[in-house]
Amino acid sequence: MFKAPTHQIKRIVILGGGTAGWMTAAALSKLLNPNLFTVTLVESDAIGTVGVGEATLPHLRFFNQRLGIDEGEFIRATNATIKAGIEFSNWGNIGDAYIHPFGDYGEPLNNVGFHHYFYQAQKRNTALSLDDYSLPVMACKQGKFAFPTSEPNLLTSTYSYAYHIDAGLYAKYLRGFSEKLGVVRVEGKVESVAMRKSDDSIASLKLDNGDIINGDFFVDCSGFRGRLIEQCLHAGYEDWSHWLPCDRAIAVQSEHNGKPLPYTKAIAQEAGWQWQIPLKHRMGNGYVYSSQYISDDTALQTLLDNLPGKPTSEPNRLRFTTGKRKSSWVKNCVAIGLSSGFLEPLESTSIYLIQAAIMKLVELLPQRENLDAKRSEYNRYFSNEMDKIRDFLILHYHATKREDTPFWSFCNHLNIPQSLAEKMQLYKEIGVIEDYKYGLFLTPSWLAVYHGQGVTPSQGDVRVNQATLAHAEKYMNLLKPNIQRCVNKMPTHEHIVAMLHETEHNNPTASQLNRPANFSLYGRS
Amino acid sequence: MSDLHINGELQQIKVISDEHSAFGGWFTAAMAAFALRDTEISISHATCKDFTLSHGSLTLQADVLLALQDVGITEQVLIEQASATPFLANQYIGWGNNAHSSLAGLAKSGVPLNGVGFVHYLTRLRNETHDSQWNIEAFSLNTMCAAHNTFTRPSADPRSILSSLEYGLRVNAKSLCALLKQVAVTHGKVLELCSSNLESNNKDSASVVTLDCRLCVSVDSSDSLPIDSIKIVGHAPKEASLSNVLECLDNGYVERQYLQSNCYSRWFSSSGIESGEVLVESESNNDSRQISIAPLASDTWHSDSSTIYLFETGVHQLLDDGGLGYRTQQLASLWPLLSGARLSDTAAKYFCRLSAQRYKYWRDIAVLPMYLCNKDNTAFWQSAKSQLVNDDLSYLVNFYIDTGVLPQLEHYPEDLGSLENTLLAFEHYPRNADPLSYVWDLSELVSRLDKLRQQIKQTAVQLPQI
Repeated sequence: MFKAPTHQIKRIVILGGGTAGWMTAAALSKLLNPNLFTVTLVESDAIGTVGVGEATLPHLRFFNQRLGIDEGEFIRATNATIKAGIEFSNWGNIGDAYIHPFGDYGEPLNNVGFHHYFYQAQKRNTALSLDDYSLPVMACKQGKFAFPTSEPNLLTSTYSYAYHIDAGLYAKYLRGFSEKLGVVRVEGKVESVAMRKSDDSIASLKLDNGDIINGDFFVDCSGFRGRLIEQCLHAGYEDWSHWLPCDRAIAVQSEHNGKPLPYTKAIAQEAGWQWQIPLKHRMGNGYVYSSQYISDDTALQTLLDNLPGKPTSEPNRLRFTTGKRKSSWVKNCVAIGLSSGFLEPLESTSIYLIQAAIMKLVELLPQRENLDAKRSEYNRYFSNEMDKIRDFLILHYHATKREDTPFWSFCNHLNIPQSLAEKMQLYKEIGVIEDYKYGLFLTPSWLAVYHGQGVTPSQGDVRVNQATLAHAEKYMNLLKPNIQRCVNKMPTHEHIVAMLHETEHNNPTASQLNRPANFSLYGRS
Repeated sequence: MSDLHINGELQQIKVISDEHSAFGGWFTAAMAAFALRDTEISISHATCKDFTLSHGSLTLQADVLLALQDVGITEQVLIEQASATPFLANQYIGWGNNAHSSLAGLAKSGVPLNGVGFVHYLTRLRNETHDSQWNIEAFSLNTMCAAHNTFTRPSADPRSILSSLEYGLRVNAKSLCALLKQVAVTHGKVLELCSSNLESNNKDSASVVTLDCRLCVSVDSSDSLPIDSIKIVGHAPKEASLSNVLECLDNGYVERQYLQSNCYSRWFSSSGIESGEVLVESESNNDSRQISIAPLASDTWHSDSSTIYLFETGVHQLLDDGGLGYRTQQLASLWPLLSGARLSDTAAKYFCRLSAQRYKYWRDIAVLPMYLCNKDNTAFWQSAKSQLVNDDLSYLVNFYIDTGVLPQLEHYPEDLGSLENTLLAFEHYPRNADPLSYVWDLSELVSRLDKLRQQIKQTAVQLPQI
């Protein structure tokens, strides 16, 4: 018989049942001993969920594996397709397009980054393209996909993958998963919140039907409004809209216009950008824009004019302010999901931030006596994650030559954060990408966006000379056809998706699923 | 494109060293000669003494060993030409009280279970059984091998218990210095100069970058250490050991590193060496020298003169392997930045920022035993405590004790297994176990951990004696 330590928190209450709420419930119910903890989730069918987070990052595979979720079952349950990168169109300039892949370009040679050799080689041969040295980019361009292998010496281990999913179906799937593991779902709206007089922490939630939900620890997944973290605990909000000016989104579902592509599309528009996310059965579409530069009606019309097929849903309008909660964890309440801040959908970081928050909460699940210490560390961690992603997203807007609309002109001349300004200056001068250990987007991602949006270094690494460049060119001459051979052997993404949605019994891809995933955006690390 | 240097006009790297930084000078020159093969490397010595002077012994860990391997100084070369012996753990004696003795292994101890750090299960067991005999040392193949003087190379198969072993090498510093000199001369266009009047200012030459490795005693730094001198004494070893032995003394501490046929004792103190043991040990060998420790400071790059100061600072002298780890990282970061010399101050500012952040970690590692020491019965240890206050280190240690989790600090490495082992060797166990460790009842936990303990011990005992 288990005996919980007396200092242990025991009753965890989650407010909100969208993607964030049910991901949290699933993780806590799976990882915590049910003899020691209870997990209750409060949600109201009357409150809709945002549910636009349809494009994910490879880390979701790690999360699902930690929970013991079968990959095939997950794919079928969420109408998923594979995502191997994001294609950005018209960002650096009108007519430009590049893919930000879940993988690297070439390999460092003699400890010198591949891009230094590439740029020198390109001076001799202007026809060279960086894309030719990335397997996932070439596969995406040809609509191909194969599951990566784990053998580190093979090219086929140099990339990772994520999914395009129906986030609503994922939440529904996780609800079933969680309830089987003992999570109690309570239907109701929060009418009021009772605070403890002793320490101003949350004691209980009173619902509109009169029920009282007591808890030791609360997870606020109530969305933008931050019902607990902001309305009760007044965490405060750091507004980043002066750096990330988009503040509206309209989402519409539509028919496919053909074969599902293995990548998300992010197409720059007059006052923001449009997403296209191919699911198995439909396309997810949206326009993220700045209300300062375009009206809601014009934005909707732009979106409808650019749908790949007939619309199949009513427009879902969202308003947001980019930024982060000043503290995501206050007293005995942690905010996860939109309640902790929002960076806009570019680069699909929403679900990643949910799972990163959950995994950190699991790592730092508090006891009464170390709650303050863990809260402080959690806030430090999460704030760092948000700051690093913020800079990477700003890069997309700022690294542009576009002046054709007031919105892009504003972005071009944006007064960016000092941290990003120094990073960009270093790259522009000598091609050095300032890396970090803790953060989502590492060197390959920064290179993809720099290169894709026309930011190139004026000087390279001093170690690139005639001899080392000749060696690198030999390597490049082998790598490019090797990549093409690999891509030629890959099935089409359409074929893979069809196989993945076959029943488990006769699914030929089953043996390739559930391979160990890293907590990383890229392939081999 | 006929010139050798496609990027920039870097034509010469000028390395400056002095009597106390001969090792740092040759290490820098060798790495530069290898990385910048077509660049002329000149090494200038501030005086004309023997420039392969000994620092006694050095303990080299993975990052340094990899850098040496890159330049051709392989493990086999180190064994044959630098008296290398394997290193598995640090043994701490007398740091808590006079009877205190514990081992801290190089590799992470235990194995994570269900994604939860091993220390949480051990903490839970210690708390629930009130039995401090459940000790981290028993769950580390490194410490068990060190205790039984057995060794083998780690297995690459992650399923094997032997994959949990990590090792470094202790080498003779003078021999390694000679090897580095050989590398520099073989790989580079190395010009060795000797002058008492060295000018590190490159204002007249746009294509020269100076790497000034001289011990900088005048550096402006508020970061002082409680110790101010090191005496290195070579002597015949009393016994072979796979551990470095760090013994706490009233006015500092002594570290003994065991090579193939000799042992080097390094005495760290604040006011000269007073122990009679030094004299006895030094009688057997004249290989003895004393070094003053400079104030601490990170490397700096003055962009206006293209001079980069790679200080042989106090930490380098305090903990040579730590200093070398810092130096290895610093040089790896420096080479890609060199094309930025004279372009603007962007590269210099970045280098200085990186140096300062990185330096914090190496400084913290160097002072960790002194920081954790429980002694306060002498004037030295009473004053040492007040001088070692450090925000990051305090945060890390206190957070670990509160939670059993090591925070992710950007300037600390991802794998902090060795640091955690040191905390536990000083009895800094977490107060509380992670709630996720409560997946088994106590009897099952005892059974599982006991089985693991026996498996590790059996493996260690069965390995070949060193």
